Amino acid sequence: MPLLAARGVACSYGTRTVLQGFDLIAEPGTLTALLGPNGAGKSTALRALSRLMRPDHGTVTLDGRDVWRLPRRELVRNVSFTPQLETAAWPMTVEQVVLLGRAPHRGWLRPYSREDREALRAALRQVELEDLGERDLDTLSGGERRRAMLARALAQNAGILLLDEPGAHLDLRHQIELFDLLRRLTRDCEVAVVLSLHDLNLASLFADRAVLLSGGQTLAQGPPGEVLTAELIRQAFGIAVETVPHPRNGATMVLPLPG
Amino acid sequence: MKGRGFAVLVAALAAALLLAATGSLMVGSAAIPIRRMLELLTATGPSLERTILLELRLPRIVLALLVGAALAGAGTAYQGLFLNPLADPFVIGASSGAALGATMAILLRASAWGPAALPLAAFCGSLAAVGLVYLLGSAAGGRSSPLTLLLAGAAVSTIVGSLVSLLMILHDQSLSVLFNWLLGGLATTTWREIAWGGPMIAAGVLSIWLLARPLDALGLGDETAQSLGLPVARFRLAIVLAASLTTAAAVALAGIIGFVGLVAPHAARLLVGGRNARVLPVSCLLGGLLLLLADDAARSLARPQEIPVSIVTSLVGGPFFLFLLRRGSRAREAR
Amino acid sequence: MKRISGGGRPALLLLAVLLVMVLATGRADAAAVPKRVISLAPSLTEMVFALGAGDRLVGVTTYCNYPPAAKRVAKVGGLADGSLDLERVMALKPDLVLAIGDGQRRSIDAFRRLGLRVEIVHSETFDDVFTALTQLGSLLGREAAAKGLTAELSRRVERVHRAVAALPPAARPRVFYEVWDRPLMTANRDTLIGRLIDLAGGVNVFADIASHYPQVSPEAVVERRPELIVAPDHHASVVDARTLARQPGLASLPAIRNGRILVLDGDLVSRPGPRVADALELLAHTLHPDLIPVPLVAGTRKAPAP
Repeated sequence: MPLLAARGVACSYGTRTVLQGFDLIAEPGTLTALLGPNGAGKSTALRALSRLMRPDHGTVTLDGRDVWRLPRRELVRNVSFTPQLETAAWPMTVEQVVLLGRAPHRGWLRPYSREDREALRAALRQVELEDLGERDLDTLSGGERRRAMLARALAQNAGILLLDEPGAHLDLRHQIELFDLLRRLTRDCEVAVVLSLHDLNLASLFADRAVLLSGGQTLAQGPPGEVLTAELIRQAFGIAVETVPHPRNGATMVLPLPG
Repeated sequence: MKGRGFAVLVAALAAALLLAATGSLMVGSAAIPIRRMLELLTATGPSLERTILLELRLPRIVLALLVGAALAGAGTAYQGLFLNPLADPFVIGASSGAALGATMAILLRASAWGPAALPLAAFCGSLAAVGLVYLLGSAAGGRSSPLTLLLAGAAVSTIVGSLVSLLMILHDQSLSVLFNWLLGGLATTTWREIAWGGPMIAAGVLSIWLLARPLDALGLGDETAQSLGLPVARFRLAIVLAASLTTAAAVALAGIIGFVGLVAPHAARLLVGGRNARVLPVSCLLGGLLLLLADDAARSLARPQEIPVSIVTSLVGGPFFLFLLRRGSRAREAR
Repeated sequence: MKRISGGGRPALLLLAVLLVMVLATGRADAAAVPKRVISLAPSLTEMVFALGAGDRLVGVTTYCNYPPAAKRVAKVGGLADGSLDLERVMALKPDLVLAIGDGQRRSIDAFRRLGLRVEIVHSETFDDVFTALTQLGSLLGREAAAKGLTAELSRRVERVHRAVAALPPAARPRVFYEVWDRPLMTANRDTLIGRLIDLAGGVNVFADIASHYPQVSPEAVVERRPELIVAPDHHASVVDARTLARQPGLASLPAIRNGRILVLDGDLVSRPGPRVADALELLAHTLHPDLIPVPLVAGTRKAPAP
C-alpha cells in the first residue's frame, strides 16, 4: 500500500497564509480526522495532499516521491479526492458519475471494460445505491448524492482516500453508516483515509488519529483521546467544554458547556 | 436511456436524415418528380435536370448536413466547456473573426486570386480571433478558466465586430456584398469546397467526440476533474482547438448561421441525457437535419428570391428554443 | 457569248469568294447572336430593352421594373449572391447571362462551372453607361442601335454641358440629395447622383465626404445651406415640404421654406442606364430653368424598333 506523507507544508492564498508547518503521515489501514474551526486550514491541507494546491513550502510525497513530479496518472490511481460540494452541470446518472472514477485506470478514450463495470457494481453495493444506478444525480437526496460521490472514490480503487467533510448535511444515521463504511475499508482493505469533519465526537468514535488545526497551525496530533482535551479545544475553538468517556467503549466524548 | 434505446434513436435519426435529404433533392424551381429523379441518378449522359440535381442541389444538401453537424458539434463542446447552456459556436469570437477576414478579403479584392480566397480569409480570421481570445483568457487568469474565456470572448467579439462595422461604413460600396456573405448561404457551394471543408469538419467533430468523457468530468467541476487525473488546462486547449477548427470550417463554407449550434445540443440532451458521448452524435444528426430543413424553407418560401438561411434558423430556432426550455423545465419540475 | 478575258477571271473569282465570305459570316453572325438572354441587374435590363433586344430576355431580377415590359419577364431572384435562384436560371436555358460583377461573383462562378456563358458588363458610374451600351451592342448583335443610342445620349449630355459649363461657382445652386430620412443619408461625388448633380450645373453639398452613402446630421445639412433638396420617391415616409420640415433641424432651411424640393423616381438616379440623360435633363432644368428648357418627362422614352 502506498504511503502519502506531508512534511512542513505551508500554503497561502495570495498574501494570506492559511496553513503552516503541516505534517501528516497517512498510514495504511488508518482513518485520520482533520479537526478545527472554520478557516483553520483543513480543506487546504486536503487539497495540498491531493495535489490540487501547490504548497509554498514543504513537500507532499507518495512513497517518498514528490507528488508534483509524479505522472498525473500514477497519482490519481493511488490517491482519490472527494470534494465537499459537487454539482453536475448536465443531467448525469449515478452510474455515469461513478464510472468516471475508473478514468484513472481506463483513461479518457477507451470504452469502459467489464472490469470497470464490476468495480461500479461493487462500489454501488458498498454504499447501498445498487437500485439507484440509473437515476439522475439531481433526483437524489443530499445523502444519496454523497454516497454516490463516495462510490466513485471507491470505484477509483485508490489506496488513499481524501474526503472533505464527507458527513456534512447528512442525517445522523447516514453519517454513522458513512463512517462505518470508511472504517471497514481501513480495516478490511488497508486503505488510508484522511478526512475533515466538524463533529468531534464522531471523530473520536471512528478515527484512529486526529489532527487539531487552528489558524493554519497544528495544535496537536495523535490518538483522538490525546488530542481532544478541554484545554486544546478551548485553544482551538474558543469555547469551554468538558470531556467524558463514552459509557460503552471509553472513547473521549466532548460536551459543550453552555452559558 | 439504455444502450439499445440509444441505438434505436440514432438509427431513427439517420433514417430521418436520409428521408429529408431525398426530399430536399426535390425542392427547387425546376420541378423534378421523384421517378424522374431516380432515373436521372442512374442514367449517364448530360442533361439539364441531371446537372441541376448533381451540381446544384446535391452539394447544397451535403453542405447543409456537414455545416449543421459542425455547428451542433461545436455548440455541444462549448456548452460542455463553459458549463453554460447559452454557449454557442460563436461565443469566443469565431464569428466576428470570420467577418473581419471576409471583410478584408472583399476590400482587398482578394477574389481576384481565386474563388477560394474569401473562404480561406474567413477561416483564418475565425481561428485568429479565437486564438486571441484564448491568449487573453490564459494571460488574465493564469489558467484558462471558463469565465475569463467568456469575458475575453465577449470583449474580442465586440471590438472586432465594431472594426468590421467601421470598415463596412467607410467602404460602403462593398456593403451589400459583405452583408450577404455574413447572413450565410449554402447556394453557391462547389464539390471542391466540400472536399476541403468536409474532412476538416469530420476531423473536428471526431476529436470532440473523443474528448466526450473529459467533458463529462468537467461538468462535475474543475476540482473533481483534476482529482480524476484530467489535465484541465491542456484539455480546455484541446477542446477549444477542435471546436474552433470545426466552426471556422463551417463559417468559411457557409457564412454565419446562428441558432443551430445552440439548439441542437439542448434537444439532444432532452433526448439522451447528459452524457456527452451520446449527446454529441445525436446533436450532430439533429443539427444537420435542422439546417437542411431550414435551407429547404429558405429557398422555397419567397421564390425566386432566396432568403438567407440564417434568417430562417433564427425565426424557427427562436420559438423552438423556447419550446425546448419549457419541456426541459417541466421535466425538471417533475422530478 | 464572248469569253471572259484572262484579267477578268481572277476578279470574278475574287468577287465570288467575297460574296461567299459575306454570306457565310452573315449566317455565322446570325448563329452567334444570343437569343435567350438573362439579365442580373435592372440597369442592364433597361439597356437591353433600349437597344431593341428586350424580346430576347427570358429572365430578369425582381428589381427590374422598367420598361413595363420587363415586369412581364420571368424573375430569377434578387441582385446579389445568395438571392439568385440558380436552378431557375439553369432551367431557362439561356445562351447568355449578363452580370454586373460585384456581389455576384459566386453565382457567376457557379454559372460558368455549369457551362453557361456569362458576360460581365460593368455599370456602376455615369461613364460606364456608354461603354456598357457599346459592349451590349456587340454582344447582342445590335451594334448599330448601340451606336445610335450612345450618340443620342452623348448629344443630350453635351447640350446640358454646353449650357452650364461656363457657369461660375456662384451661379451653381447648392444641392442636398437625401437618400434616406431615418437615418439621414446622402450621397458623395463618387455616386451616380453625385455626378449628375455636378454635370447638371449644381454643387452637391456633401460631395467631399469619403463614404458613398454617408450618414449625416441635420446640423451638417443646415450648415451647408443647400438651395435645392432632391429626394427619391421611395422613402420611409412621403417626401414633401411638410414632411421634410418635420425632420428635426431642417425646418429652417430656405430650400424647405421656399418649397425648392424635387422628388423624382429613385431608379432614375441610382441606375446607370439609358435614362441617365433623362435624369440629367430633369436635374438641369430644375437647377437652371432658364438655361435648359422643358425637360423630357422621365420614363416616356420609347425603345427603338428591333
